Amino acid sequence: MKNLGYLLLVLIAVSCTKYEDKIYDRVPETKFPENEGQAALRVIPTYQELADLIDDAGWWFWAQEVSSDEIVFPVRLTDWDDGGKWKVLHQHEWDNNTDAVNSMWSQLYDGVFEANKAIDELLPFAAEPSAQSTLAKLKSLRAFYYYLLIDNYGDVPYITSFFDAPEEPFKEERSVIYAGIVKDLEEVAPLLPVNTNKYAVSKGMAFTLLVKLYLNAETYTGTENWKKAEDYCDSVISLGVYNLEAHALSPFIADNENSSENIFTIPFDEFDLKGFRLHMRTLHYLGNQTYNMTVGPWNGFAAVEDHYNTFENNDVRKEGFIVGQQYSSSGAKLSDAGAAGADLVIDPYIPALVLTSSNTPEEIRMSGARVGKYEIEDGIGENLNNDFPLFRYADVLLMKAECMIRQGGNGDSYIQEIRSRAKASSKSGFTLDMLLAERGREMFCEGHRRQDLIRFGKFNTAWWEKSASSPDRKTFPIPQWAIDANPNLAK
Amino acid sequence: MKRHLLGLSKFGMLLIALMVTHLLSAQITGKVIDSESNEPLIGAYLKTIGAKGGAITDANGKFSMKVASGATGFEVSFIGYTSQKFTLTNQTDYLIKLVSEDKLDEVLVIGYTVQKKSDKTGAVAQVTAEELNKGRLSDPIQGLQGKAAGVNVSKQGGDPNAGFSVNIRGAAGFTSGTGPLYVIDGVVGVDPTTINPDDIESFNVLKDAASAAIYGSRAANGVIIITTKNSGIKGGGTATEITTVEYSSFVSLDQVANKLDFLDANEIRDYADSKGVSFIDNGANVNWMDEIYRTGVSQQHTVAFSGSDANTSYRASLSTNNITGVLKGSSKDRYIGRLNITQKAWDDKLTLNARMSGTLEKNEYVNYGGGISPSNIIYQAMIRNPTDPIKNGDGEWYELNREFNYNNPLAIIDQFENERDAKRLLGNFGVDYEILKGLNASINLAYIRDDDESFYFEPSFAQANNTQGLGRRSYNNRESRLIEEKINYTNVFNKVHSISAMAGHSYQVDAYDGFSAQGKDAQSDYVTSNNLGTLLQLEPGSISSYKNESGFISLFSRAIYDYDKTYFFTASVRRDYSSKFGANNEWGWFPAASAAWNVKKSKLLQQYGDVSDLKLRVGYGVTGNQNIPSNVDVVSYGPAGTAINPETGETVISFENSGDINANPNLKWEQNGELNIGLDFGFFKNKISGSLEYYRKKTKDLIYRYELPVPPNKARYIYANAGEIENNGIEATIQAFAINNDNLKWKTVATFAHNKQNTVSLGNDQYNVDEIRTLYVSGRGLVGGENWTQKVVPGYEIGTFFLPVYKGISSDGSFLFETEAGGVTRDVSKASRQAVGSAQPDFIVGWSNYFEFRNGLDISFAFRSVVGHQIINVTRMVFSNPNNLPTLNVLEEALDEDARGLTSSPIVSSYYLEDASFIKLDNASIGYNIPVNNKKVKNLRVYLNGNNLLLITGYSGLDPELNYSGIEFGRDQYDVYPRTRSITFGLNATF
Repeated sequence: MKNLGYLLLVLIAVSCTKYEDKIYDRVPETKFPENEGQAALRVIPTYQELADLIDDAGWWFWAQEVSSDEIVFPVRLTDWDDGGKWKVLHQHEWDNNTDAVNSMWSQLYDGVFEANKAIDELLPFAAEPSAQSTLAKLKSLRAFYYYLLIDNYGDVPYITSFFDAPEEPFKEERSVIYAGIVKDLEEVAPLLPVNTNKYAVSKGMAFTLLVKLYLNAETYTGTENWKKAEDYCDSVISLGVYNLEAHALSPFIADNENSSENIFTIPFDEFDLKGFRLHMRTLHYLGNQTYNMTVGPWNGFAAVEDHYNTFENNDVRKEGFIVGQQYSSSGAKLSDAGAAGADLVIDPYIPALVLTSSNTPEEIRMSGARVGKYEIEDGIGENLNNDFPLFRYADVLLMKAECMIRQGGNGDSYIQEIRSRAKASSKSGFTLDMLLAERGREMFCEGHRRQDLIRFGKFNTAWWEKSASSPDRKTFPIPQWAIDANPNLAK
Repeated sequence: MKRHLLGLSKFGMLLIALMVTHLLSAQITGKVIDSESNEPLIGAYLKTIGAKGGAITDANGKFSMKVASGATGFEVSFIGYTSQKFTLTNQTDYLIKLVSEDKLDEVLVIGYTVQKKSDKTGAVAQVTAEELNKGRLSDPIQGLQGKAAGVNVSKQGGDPNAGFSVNIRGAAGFTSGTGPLYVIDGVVGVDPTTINPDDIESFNVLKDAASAAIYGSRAANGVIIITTKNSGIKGGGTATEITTVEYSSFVSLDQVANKLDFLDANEIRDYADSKGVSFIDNGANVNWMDEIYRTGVSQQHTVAFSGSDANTSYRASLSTNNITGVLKGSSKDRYIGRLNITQKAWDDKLTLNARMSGTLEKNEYVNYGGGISPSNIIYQAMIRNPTDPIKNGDGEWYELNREFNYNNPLAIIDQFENERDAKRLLGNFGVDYEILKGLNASINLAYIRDDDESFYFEPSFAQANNTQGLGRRSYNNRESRLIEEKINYTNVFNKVHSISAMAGHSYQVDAYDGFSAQGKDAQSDYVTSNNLGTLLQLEPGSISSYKNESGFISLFSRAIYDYDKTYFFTASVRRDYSSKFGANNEWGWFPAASAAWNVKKSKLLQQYGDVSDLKLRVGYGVTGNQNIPSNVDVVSYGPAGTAINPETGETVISFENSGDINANPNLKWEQNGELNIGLDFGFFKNKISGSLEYYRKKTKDLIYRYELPVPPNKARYIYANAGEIENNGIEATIQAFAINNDNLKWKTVATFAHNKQNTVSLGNDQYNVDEIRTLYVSGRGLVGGENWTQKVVPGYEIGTFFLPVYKGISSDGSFLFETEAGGVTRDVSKASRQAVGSAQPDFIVGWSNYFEFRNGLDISFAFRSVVGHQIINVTRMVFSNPNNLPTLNVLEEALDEDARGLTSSPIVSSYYLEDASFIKLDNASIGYNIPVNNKKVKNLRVYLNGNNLLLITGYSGLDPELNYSGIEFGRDQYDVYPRTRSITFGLNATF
């Protein structure tokens, strides 16, 4: 009896010396991917990193717009100072610890990293035709991320492999990366499909990206290449699958996934693909009553008044601004309790970048034309359904015109096509300055303005509430945290 | 157990002294024996009480005594033994067991074994039931507050649903938990909040690593061992039976101890008039701070019965506790049942222990955290304009959009549902068998189950909801299974060599799983979260579940030796496995050794008769901390919302690297090495006694989530061991029986603890970070540099505030700050951030007093003082700023700020850092043992108790206490549930 007890004791002690360490609610690395569905997901992360570019997770969009002359986040008394992160962009006073600089860097490299990882995983199957097409798409996406990296940061590490990535990479010259991604794109473009799926990489996407690269070749390499840029504009046009929509704001409606004008877009959905919250940032607090929104917007950014004033009154693109007396969805005049019940009248005039208690409540809360270019659906929540166009056919036409002008030609017909669609007055004899202004109106609030101003040599000039800035502001600095983690980035 | 019984007989004595004399005249007989050896005691003296008479035991320990009429009882005494008193009943034959005074020495529970207090070699603090704080405790651990030096029990605010933070000797970590390990009746990892304070016999706190190392990889933050009550087995073949029924009950009233002073409607109107600004005046004058609070009524009832005979002892208790919070809408209801049984068999060689306890808890929550969230009741009440009425003329809650997210707090309390039901079970079964004299083997099995279910609903019509109605149900389940075997051997050789050795093995699996479902756009506000089928809008992730598990395997051993109770040595070693660590480091060693010298026993001190006790102790041990999430050492893929497959346009579930981490097969426990030197002393026959402790603690291999560059790393983070923190401190405990006579007994206990922490490093060559910025603050209009207030940086303790130094305001009302060069600037980004304070206190003092009067009255009170810590008062930072006047309400102080011309928005600076040193009267109670003329009632006691009766502090916010946890403490950000003052009237009866 006793001996049995001891035996039991020993048995228990011996049996309980092993434990199987197991993950239950996630797929362990060794088992991933489990099936074809998960394998197909391998390309998705590379695409998915695009979504964060548009808001403050990835900052690319705001860095382009707020550092330019068209969009401003006025400090509205106690709102929107946010530690000065908007103001430093406007006044070109960012440093290597500014939110935009920090987040855009990691976001863009997240894209590169996802692409490299997917490419390396696919390389063993490179002989299979389906893998070739997928590889072509991934390389195009990687080129897109590198294009944004050299556009924003200049010299950056150029890493094209995931498994063989150096521990602490050095920076590569902007021109070398430029040459690398142009080569990649020109190699893979023939393998890409001509499709009308705006979410996927297509020939149209790759050609437009090549236009952008050649168009800015002078910025990136010191040597211009207008001819090649024009050639690729022609390549896009000759695909024959894109055309201008009848209405200038049609590419921006909530249901824009089939717009024939959009070439490459980031899909957004109020439930499934959140992250496009432009209306939340721009609408007055009471804007929810106009659109029956389920959430209250944040009364933030507006158009710089000088930019707003570049639109002719009959220009249909001016309908993309929200100004004047605001009404509830039932048509009642809105009044603002925060301004002692004054009528809610949005005024394009903004008294200053920093609105203080010396300003009236109306000035603090109601100044600045709000952006309604992207349709705000009735009953929408915090996230929009509109897809965000990264590349658009109208842009290709304007770039075509620019290449022609820059090579001594005349781009009037292409520009006039855009202007007449917008019901703006007819003009001819377009100069580069006139073209830049037209780009400002047509491409407003789509993330192109910073690059355009740099290419036209206007980025460092003074504008409203911003003095002339130093040429080094044409790129953002590498974030301090990245240099701390890898001192080679400082070399 | 013995203490408990003695306590009862003390009550008995008091009763007897006051009882109306009974007329009795009889002969009683019996035998007096030693409680341990059962040897007869020859010459023990018996004396009747209430009348003359007595007897002396014979050579067989037997006696026969005539009891004169008028006697109510008798007392038995013998030199070297504790006297016992008996009440006369119908019993005529007694077997009386006297307890040797040597045995009276308190028994410490040191983990897996017990030890006499006089034999201890480590820093172990014991607090027994009678010493604990009483009254309306929301949590049993509150009883320990201020009672043990170096054990900081703290809670910011008075929310009955919020737990206390317990910090022992500056326990620190960057990402790991800093709470102690709880061991309840030998079961590791039980949530102590599930115990009824009335069921607790004692707390034993293993403070130093030499003591705690027996719990290995989980003991770095100290170990709190809780022992629950049982009645002791009489043993020795006696048929004596004691059956006791206890009933205790209290009713308590809670009130908000202090309120913040906000402007009333007239002050706002006057302000608007004086400034010539207009605002919407709705004509009311509501004090919103008063409206959201109420008087809380709480009650508790406990019934317990216990009994024992020669082979069995048991105690069963059932309690109900109901606390109504002072913030409207918050409450807690708890039912706890417990049954402890001990059975001996096979000539007392076999001991079976069974313990079961079950807890049902129902919480009603109100949202008062979450910063400026639209449903933060306290924040909404603070900003709410006092001219806004509570209700419309038609009886509906009044709402007006003065601001984005401006909502009536009473409407939120009324409309939102936020409840939780928790069900907990602890079962524990143990077998102990004495193989040979002194050699015991035992097996202990335990099962813990903690389940809770939450109900959340925001109705569609509520202004404060922005989801058209949201409903959610969630379940969280925890299960822990433990099996433990050990062998214990004790013996004394040649009368001077005492040896006690123990070796064991334990295997524990902790499993967590849960489920949550939510939806928006409620089509019914009637069914609330009871039927989620009424929610129209489901999003990816609306339904989710989880499950994870971790395993612990241990082999442990300890040997204790003493030579003639003069030289003591203890050595222990534990080998621990934890599945939480990387494959290369799943097993670790945790050794400890300690020694003590009883100086009193040496010849040196024998001439100093006043020194009754003097013992020097020294110990060193290694403990670990593995209080990190499971599976952070490996890469795994989990669902991360939806994505569009761009190729097909279909929506798919995307899988991502969970936590964006790199695998670390070398991840291991945090290692804490601690040297402890202690001195125990007693003077004047231990009228004054106490101990001093000094410790040096080095915690290395601290785990932190380091950020890595991407590329070239696969993922952005890695959990790695690299940091190091030091803690040095001293602790003192002094206990004195200041007065000890028949009329009055006064026992006073003072504790003192000082801890100095220093962050040695945040990393090593491989993983490093310069500083960890933490304790971010947020609030409406909070502008300026980045809104962090503390950083963890080498050379400073965790909790150090680095703030721009306030230098007054400029002529136009901007804040001025000190620059690096010593000048002033109004640009906070150019201000130098300086170390201006710390949220960790310099020292903590506790002072407890117990008075017992001859007439049955007793009084106790306990003060506690925490000195030298600072709090960043964000509530003041935001609400003393006049900028939002007259639309939103502010503190009275804002008028002063306006008068001195402040125009700037709130900016984080030293201006809002406040010293939060305080002295608190945690507990005061007066009790009376009512003389009862009834043999059925052994004791009847009534008491009046006050918790938190007095607070002396210079701190301007609601509560100068903090929740110490991780690297985020020291902030008051309109998230402080008001501190409460409670008055309790209670009754205890023993039958």
